[in-house]
Formats: sequence, structure tokens, C-alpha cells
Amino acid sequence: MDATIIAIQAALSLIASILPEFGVASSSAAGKVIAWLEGVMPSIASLGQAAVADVQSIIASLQNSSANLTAAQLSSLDAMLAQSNAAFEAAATADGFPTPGATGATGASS
Amino acid sequence: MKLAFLAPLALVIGLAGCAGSGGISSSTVNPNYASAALSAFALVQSTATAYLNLPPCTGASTSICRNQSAAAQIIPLIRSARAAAAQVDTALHVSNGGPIDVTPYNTLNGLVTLLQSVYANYSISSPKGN
Repeated sequence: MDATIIAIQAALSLIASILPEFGVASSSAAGKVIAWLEGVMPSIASLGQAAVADVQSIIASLQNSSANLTAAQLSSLDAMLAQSNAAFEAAATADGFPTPGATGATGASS
Repeated sequence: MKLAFLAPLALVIGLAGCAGSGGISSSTVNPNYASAALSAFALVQSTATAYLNLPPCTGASTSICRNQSAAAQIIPLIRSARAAAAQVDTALHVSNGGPIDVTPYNTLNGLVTLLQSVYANYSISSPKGN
């Protein structure tokens, strides 16, 4: 396990533990957490069950924020979804399930 | 044992639906609940992506591998859930980050529940049943 993975795990654990105590009542704090999740999301799946549970806790804490989302937060969400969607479609296409309607998709032939 | 990899998914799915009573009314949902649902969906999708990147299972597979039958069910559900997630995301933009209509949020949660049933069918929560 490399140092980056260890660092992400440590950060996940830390954030998951402190968010319930301090809350994310401010829109700014919630935005920073979302932006950070956006960055580490591609690595989460490889970190195992404990990491997923930490993210679950973090996301649950985000729900406690009462503020509306800012434009920056919406952009972070868009970026996270776009990144996640693209990675999934690449994997699904390679697995023989090309994106419906995509031209030139030929399954695992890439 | 082959599907043990998907166990984390079982932890994540349902998260979007775990909202307490404070963020949802009969017609609208708190934007942060919606945001959390989108984050949970991205996480589920990310895990599914990693699963699809595993080598396919063969009769002699002893390590973690991808069951094609599971993949065939998960992929369309993920795509449907993504469409619902896009509706939630669009609604958030339209509301300028404020509360959104609960309908697309509920649709997303419903599809996540469907995904959960697929994982249950493959004994994902009971990986010892290989």
C-alpha cells in the first residue's frame, strides 16, 4: 500500500470522526468536504470496507448542513459526477456494455 | 467469495435513503440531502467501476473476479440511477442550490434500492456462500 493511499485513509478516518462533532453548518465547510471527496473518489473503491464506511459517515454529516449549496459546490458536484460517469462508462464499454447511443462503441475491442 | 468485492456497495447503497425527517417534506428535499444522495451515487458508481475492472470469473477462479451476470444487471441500473442523479443535479442548479422537488430524489433512492436487491440476489452480503 503506497503512501498516498495511507494518507487518504487517514484523512477519511479523521474527517469522519470530527464532522459529527463540529458539524458542517457553514456552506463553505460543506463545499470543502465535497471538493475533497471529488478528488479522492476514484481511489475510494480500492481502499476497502473501512474507507467506504468512513465516506458513508462523511456524506451523512453533510446532510446536516442547513445552508443552500453555492455555485462552487454545484460545480464540484458536477465535476464529481462527470468523473465518476466517465470512468464507469469506460469500464462498462470494456466489459462489453457500450454506452447506449454511443457511436463506434464496440465493447472490449478497445 | 467471488462477489465479496461488492460488499462495500451494500454499505453505501441505501445511504441516500437514510435521510432523517428534518430534510425532506412531502414535496421538497433539503439541497444538502440531495447533494449527499449525489455523492452516495458517485461512490456506488465508483465501486461498481472498480468491480467491472476486475478480471472475469472463470470456473477455476480463486481470487476476486467479476461475475458477468452481476455486471449485466448492475450496469443498466447504474445508468438508470445516473439519469435520476442528473435530474437531481439539474434541479439543484435550477433552484440555485436551494430545496428541490422530492420526485427525482425519490426516484434516485428507488433505483439505489433496486441495486441493493441485485446485490442481495448475488449474496453479496453473505460472501461465504460461494
